[in-house]
Amino acid sequence: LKPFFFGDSSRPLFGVHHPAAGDRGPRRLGVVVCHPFGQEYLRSHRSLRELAGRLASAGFHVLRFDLSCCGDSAGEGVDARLEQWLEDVATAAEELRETTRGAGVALVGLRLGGSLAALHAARSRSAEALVLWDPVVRGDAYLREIRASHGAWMSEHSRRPGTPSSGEVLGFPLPEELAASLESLDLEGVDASSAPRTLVVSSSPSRRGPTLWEGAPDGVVDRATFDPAPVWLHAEGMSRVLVPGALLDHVSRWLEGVCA
Amino acid sequence: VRLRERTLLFGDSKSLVGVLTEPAEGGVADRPAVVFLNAGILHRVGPNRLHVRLARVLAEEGLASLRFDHSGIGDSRPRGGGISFARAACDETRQAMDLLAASCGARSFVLAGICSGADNALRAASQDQRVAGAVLIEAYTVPGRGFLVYSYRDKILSLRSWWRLLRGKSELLNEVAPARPETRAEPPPEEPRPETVLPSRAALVADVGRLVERGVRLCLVYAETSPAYYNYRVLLRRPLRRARPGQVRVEVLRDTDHVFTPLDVQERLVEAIRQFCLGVGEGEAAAG
Repeated sequence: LKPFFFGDSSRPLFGVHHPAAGDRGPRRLGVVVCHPFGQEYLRSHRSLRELAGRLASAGFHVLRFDLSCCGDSAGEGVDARLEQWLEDVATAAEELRETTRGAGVALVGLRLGGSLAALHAARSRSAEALVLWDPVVRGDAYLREIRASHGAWMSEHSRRPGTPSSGEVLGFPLPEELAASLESLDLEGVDASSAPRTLVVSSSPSRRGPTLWEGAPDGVVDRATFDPAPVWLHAEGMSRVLVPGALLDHVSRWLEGVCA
Repeated sequence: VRLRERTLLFGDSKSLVGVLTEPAEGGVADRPAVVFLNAGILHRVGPNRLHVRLARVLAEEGLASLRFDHSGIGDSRPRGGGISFARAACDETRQAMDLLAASCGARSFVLAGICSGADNALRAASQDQRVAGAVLIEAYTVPGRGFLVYSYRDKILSLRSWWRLLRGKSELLNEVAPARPETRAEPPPEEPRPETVLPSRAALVADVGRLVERGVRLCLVYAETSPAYYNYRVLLRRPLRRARPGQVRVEVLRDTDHVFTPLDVQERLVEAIRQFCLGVGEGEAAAG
């Protein structure tokens, strides 16, 4: 793999290129992998690296990257903005197109990374396939969820219980402007046909993900549900978490099928 | 932009992934360079991205730093050859210092780590004369009797989750890092098993004592209610008594957990480490 910085040199993005390997590649699509936000980013890093490795072994060029103000990319957490993240996805897709000399792009995103992938696909109409893994469908519910987790964590581990409006969630800044953008995020309002093919994959039957885009035309949205511990969850699941091999293999096989 | 960052691949097989952060104007050769070590299985950005924040704050003060992933962690390839993690972590930390010496001319170093990263920092510091300072954050949560009864009591289960993650003892590691026989061979970690990762208490006290004798500056940071702080009080105070004035800085942070979740506590942590690292630089300049 090759780590590198790319994009605007005044605020570069960190990425890892996993070159296509094996005798089946390179395939006609490259894959951009979008990480989630905050603690979910930390928890799922290993699984997304593993996914990128498996996709590369299956013949895909893969670009896995950190959003602005996250991970190793430029910017501080207090400056994180949804609109900037959407530009980041576009920048990463363009970077991969250049690397692969014009291959098509599939986007894979976990949680908020999945939402960004879907929003980018709707805006650009340039993604040939989308994989949304436990995507954040409604931003308001997501905010409630992470703020509640923050409050629970703080009341357990600190003498000062967290308050929902404190501008931080589980160790990361949650700037007001970002929170406001998330509040109005609703993937149900996004065209289900933004990409010719979409896979919505869920870590658990109880998650909202698989109910997304139920009215989509036949053959556009595939669904799959697995039952590992969600890799992105906080606290108690953390010490038991496994890289969800079956889920990752399914994503890889599905993308191979799209390329067939 | 007052700093620049670049990615580096280094180590014996050029498979260790690191990010070098430098002041834009350069001129770091006469200052100590800082190396951030993985906290357990979290990748090089650190718990709550603290290593990135620290690296950038230090670059603005004129200090270069490298955050990198040990083999088998984050983006670095698992190693082969059955070397223990403790041994590999020391070797790789030395290689990180070699890299900083070659790429920006650094001659002295500060090793910084949280939890198991602090354990590795101390071990590597005791073996390399180039280390002028060590930032040991929440180091040595040695789970003895005191650990179990101290402070957390009914919170021990969730604490143990953190402990396992940051000690690199999660099942996740066993699943995807087969080149780590010493953790793979273990039974499921129902209880902390310090003998596999941690030194004996005697070795810990001896390591700290040697660093004090050598004049290495130490910054010890604890969460007030942490078992690590308890261990500091019962184990480390004695070897630290021989330190010269100003050699050891102890920061005890209130209202926080093991990974410094509250943002205002993170700011206090960053400020303490910034001041400490600048002090090491001044000490080096005076000595040089």
